[in-house]
Amino acid sequence: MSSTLTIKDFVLKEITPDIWRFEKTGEMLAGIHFVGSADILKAISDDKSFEQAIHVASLPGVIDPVLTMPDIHQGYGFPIGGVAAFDLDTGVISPGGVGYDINCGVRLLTTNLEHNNLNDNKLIKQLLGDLFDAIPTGVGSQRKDLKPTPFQFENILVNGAQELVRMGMGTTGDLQSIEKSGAFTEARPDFLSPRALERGHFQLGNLGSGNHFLEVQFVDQIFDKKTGVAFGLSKGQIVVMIHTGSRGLGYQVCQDALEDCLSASEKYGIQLSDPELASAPIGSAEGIRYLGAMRAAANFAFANRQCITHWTREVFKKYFPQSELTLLYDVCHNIAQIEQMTWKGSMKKFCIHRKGATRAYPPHHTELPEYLRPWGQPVIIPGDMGRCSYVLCGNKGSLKLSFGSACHGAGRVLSRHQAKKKSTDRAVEKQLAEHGIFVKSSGKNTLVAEMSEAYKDVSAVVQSTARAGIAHSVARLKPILVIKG
Amino acid sequence: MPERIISYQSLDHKADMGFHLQAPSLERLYIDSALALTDLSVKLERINSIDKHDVLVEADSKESLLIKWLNEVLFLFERHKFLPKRIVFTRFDGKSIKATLIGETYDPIRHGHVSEVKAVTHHQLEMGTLPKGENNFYAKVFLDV
Repeated sequence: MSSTLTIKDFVLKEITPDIWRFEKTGEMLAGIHFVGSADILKAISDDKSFEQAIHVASLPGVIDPVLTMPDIHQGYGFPIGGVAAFDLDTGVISPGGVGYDINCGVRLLTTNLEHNNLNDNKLIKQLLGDLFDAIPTGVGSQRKDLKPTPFQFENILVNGAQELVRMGMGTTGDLQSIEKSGAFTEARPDFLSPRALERGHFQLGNLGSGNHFLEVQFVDQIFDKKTGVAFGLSKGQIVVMIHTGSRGLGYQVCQDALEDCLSASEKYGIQLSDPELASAPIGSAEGIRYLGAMRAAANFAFANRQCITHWTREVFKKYFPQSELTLLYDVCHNIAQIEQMTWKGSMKKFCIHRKGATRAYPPHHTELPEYLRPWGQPVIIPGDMGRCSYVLCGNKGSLKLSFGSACHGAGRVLSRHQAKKKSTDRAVEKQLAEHGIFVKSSGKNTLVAEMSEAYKDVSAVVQSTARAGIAHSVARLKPILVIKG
Repeated sequence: MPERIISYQSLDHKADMGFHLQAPSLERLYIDSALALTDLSVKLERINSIDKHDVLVEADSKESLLIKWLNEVLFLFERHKFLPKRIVFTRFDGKSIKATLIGETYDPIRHGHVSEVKAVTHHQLEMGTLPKGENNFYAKVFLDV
């Protein structure tokens, strides 16, 4: 007999392990599948995640089910950890379903270095200092040697990371290891406001602040040996994880589109439970404008992560001249994409929104590069800076279960304000150093706001994703040094 | 002239933050919201009045006008590192704001670190008037950080 779980007034029924269905009711046009353990779901009963998922499931053309991943928490309009697919003819696209940081995402670089190449505290601190100097962080800072011409900048918006490779900041090998080969096609820089362009032009190559980071990590555990080998991962290996997005350019595209879609919602009679859900029919002028602008912002984010990769490689070469940093994969976790898949027996095209969720394609998917195709898509899951991160792999059946989508991270449990009451930057830094983790941040209160206790345990999130059958763990990674904005 | 008191409280939200503000008029609600937004990052008493920026913002509704106006203040910081201390409206009709912001350029040593605010959002935005009291115009605003 399947179990039920009642949270507030919501009765959820466990249809398969760790997938709880909430049947459609009232204004809803689709049911919801909450992915997570009973404990995870109980823990979010104090916020508005459930209500937000219901609002999403009430938007026109939404496909049953709307999903939320185990890292679910309250967002703006859409819950974070939300996945919603829309019919191309009757459905809508919502800038709030992508978020302000368009194509916020993560990439993982593998190296030919071992943990014992980097176990001297003096060396770690020097590497930390040099990486921190090489990679701009915080609001508005940019490297002086990176000044794309207006022509190059427009090419970046059209060609994403591909343009950076053309500029000598990457290899063609990098491109096959990025979602969409590093560039969304049909990007329309001409749909960006002058303000959006201005905000992007002076922030390319900036890591940002808040939860964005660069970490040098080591592979602490391999769970799936065969896939680990195929991904180029081995126990004790040094890897580098980069988490950032589209900076002010993406925020401005979202702001502009929200205003545009607020008018569109009124024009097309779309009922909104929250203005942050402002939407437009996918094929409408407003929908086409947003999709084109969003793709340009996503390409900017791919290029941003490519810049940071290039500088990281340069710094590593200084300390380890023989070092090779190879891109394992780069995934978006704030995006809307048109995707084709077999759904309930026939081939369908959907507009899939993933807000704080990662694409997790199964083995043999034709979108995957050849070297990954037998295995499935790597899903990079950043944890908090004190504990660990994971590499997962999309499972056979992920399309059917979740439109090929998995979790994206840990999810906060404490507000920044609550975190600041618990500790101080200096105490957090000291505590991490005692565990052999060295951190450097340009910001005051960034470390305390981002401390481990402020986040859910990412291991629980990953285990639940695996129990649900969406993706399985390949490797666990532990931090050695952390750069924060 | 004594410092004007801005009556606001910061709001706690798991992933983000915001503020709740009261003011004696609609115009002051917009002005004080911009100053509260700044005060959350850098205390107003630490900002000098030595530089100025003029801005023009237009919108279809009073809510959109507030969001656009506050996002303009964020932009001035992101792009020009400008922190306002005082604000004078030269035009305000509920659908548009023409303003002069007086303040100074951000100095990391004097002003300390400023955390990035991605955007001021429409999420749970509340604007209205209380039936009575001096500060009867209120707004509740959440930020994506």
